[in-house]
Amino acid sequence: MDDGRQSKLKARILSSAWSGPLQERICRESVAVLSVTTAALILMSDDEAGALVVASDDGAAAVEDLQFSLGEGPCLAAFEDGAPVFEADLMAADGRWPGFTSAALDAGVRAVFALPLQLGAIRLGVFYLNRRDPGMLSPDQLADAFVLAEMATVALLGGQDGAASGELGAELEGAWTHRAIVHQATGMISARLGVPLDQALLRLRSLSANGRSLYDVARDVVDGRLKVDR
Amino acid sequence: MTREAELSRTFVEMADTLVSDFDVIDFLHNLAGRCVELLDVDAAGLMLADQGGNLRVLASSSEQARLLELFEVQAEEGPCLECFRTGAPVIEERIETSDRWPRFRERALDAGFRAVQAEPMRLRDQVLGALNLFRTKEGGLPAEDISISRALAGVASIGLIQERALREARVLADQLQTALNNRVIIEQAKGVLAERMAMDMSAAFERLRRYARNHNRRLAQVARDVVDGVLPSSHLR
Repeated sequence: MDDGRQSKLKARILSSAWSGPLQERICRESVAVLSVTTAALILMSDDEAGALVVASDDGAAAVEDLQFSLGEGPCLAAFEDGAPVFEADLMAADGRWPGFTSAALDAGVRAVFALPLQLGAIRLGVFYLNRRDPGMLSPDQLADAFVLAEMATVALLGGQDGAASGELGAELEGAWTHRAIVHQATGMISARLGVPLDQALLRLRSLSANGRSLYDVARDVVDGRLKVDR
Repeated sequence: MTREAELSRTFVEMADTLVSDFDVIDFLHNLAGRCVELLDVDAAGLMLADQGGNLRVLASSSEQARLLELFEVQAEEGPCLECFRTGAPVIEERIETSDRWPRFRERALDAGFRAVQAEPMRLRDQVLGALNLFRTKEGGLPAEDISISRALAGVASIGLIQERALREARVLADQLQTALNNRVIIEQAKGVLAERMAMDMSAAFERLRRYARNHNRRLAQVARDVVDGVLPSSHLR
C-alpha cells in the first residue's frame, strides 16, 4: 500500500476544508475517491438490526431498510462474517441474496461493497458502499476503502464518547430510535405466539414481504391494527 | 550483533505495540534492559504517570535503581522527578558534589550511583513519564549515547500513546456494543409486556423501570429476564 496516498487521504478528511461532522466527511470523501454512488455508516446490534448513522445521500436508508426487512444482504453478511463483501455486479451475482439483489437492481444499484466496522473482536457495524455502474474497486481504491473504514470506526466511536454507562451516545441514539418499533413488535409477537424472539422477527419479516416496509408492518402490530396469529 | 543492528532491532520492538498480547509492564522492562545493554549505563528505570497524574515506578533494570526511584517519588525530590515535572532532560554528572537534591544524593551514593541522567517521555505537550539512567562512575554519557537514549524515550512514548488510544477505543467500542444490545432487549421486553398486559409501550416501559428501581437492578437485566421468561409478567403488575 502506498503510505503517502493513505496519509494524504487521512489528512484531507481531517482537514477543515470540508465542514460537517467527521462521519459525514468520511462518506463524502468516499464517494469522491472510491467512485461510488453512495457511502454510509451503519451501526449494528448483535441481532443484526442495523441503524443508519449517516449516509452521503438519501438512497442508503432505503437499501439499509431493505436489508433489515429481508434479513439478507451484503451488510448483514459482512457483519456476520466479520469480513468484507465485494459484489462487483449484482446482475451476475450468485444468488446468495435473491430478495436483496432483485430489489437493489430495481433501485438502480449494480455494485455493492460492505466492510465491517470492527475493533479487535468487537463488531460495531458496517461501512456500506454502492454504485450505479458495475465493476470492482481498483487496487488503490480498495486500499483507500480499508483506510476509510478504519476512520469510520473511529468516527462511530466518537459518537459514543462521553455517553453514560449503558446508554448510547445522543447522536447514535437518534439514529437508532426509529428501529425501536421493530423490536417492540418482535417482543409482542413473541409473547402472543409463545415463540423465541428470532422466530418472532422472522414472522414479522414474512408479513412485510408484500412490498411493505418492516417499519410500517411493525407500526401496525404495535398500534393493534395487525393481529398476528399462529 | 553490532550495536547498529541491536539498535534497529530495539526500535522495531518498541514501535510494535499493536500486537494482541501487548503488556505495558513487559514493554517497559524490555526498554530498561535494552538501555543497559546499549548505553554506557549501569541501571535504567522507567516512571510513568497514572490516570490521576501521579508518578509510578513501573520498571527498573536493578533492585537498587528501583528503590532509589521509589524513594524519589515518596520524597518528592530528585532528578527523575524534576525531569517529569519540567518535561526537560536532567543531567547530573557528579552526584557527590551536587547539592540540588540532598536527600536523593545520600540514597543514590548508598546505592552506589555516582551520575544520573533523566530523559522525559513526552508527546508534544504531554509528559508521560521519565526514562532514568544511572551510572556507578562519575561523568556524563557520551554524546552518541545521549542521542540514543532520547530516541529510545521518543519511540517508547509513541508506543505508549498508541497503546493507550487503542485501549480507550476498545473500552468505547465495548460500551457502544453493550448499550446497543441493551436498547434492543429493552424494546423487546416492552413489546412482551405490552402484549401480555394489554398496555401501551410507555406504560410497559414504566413497569420495567419501576421494577428495576424497586429491586435495585439494572433495567437491561430486568428486560433480559422478561424476554427470557425468567421473570413472569405478573411480577411487574
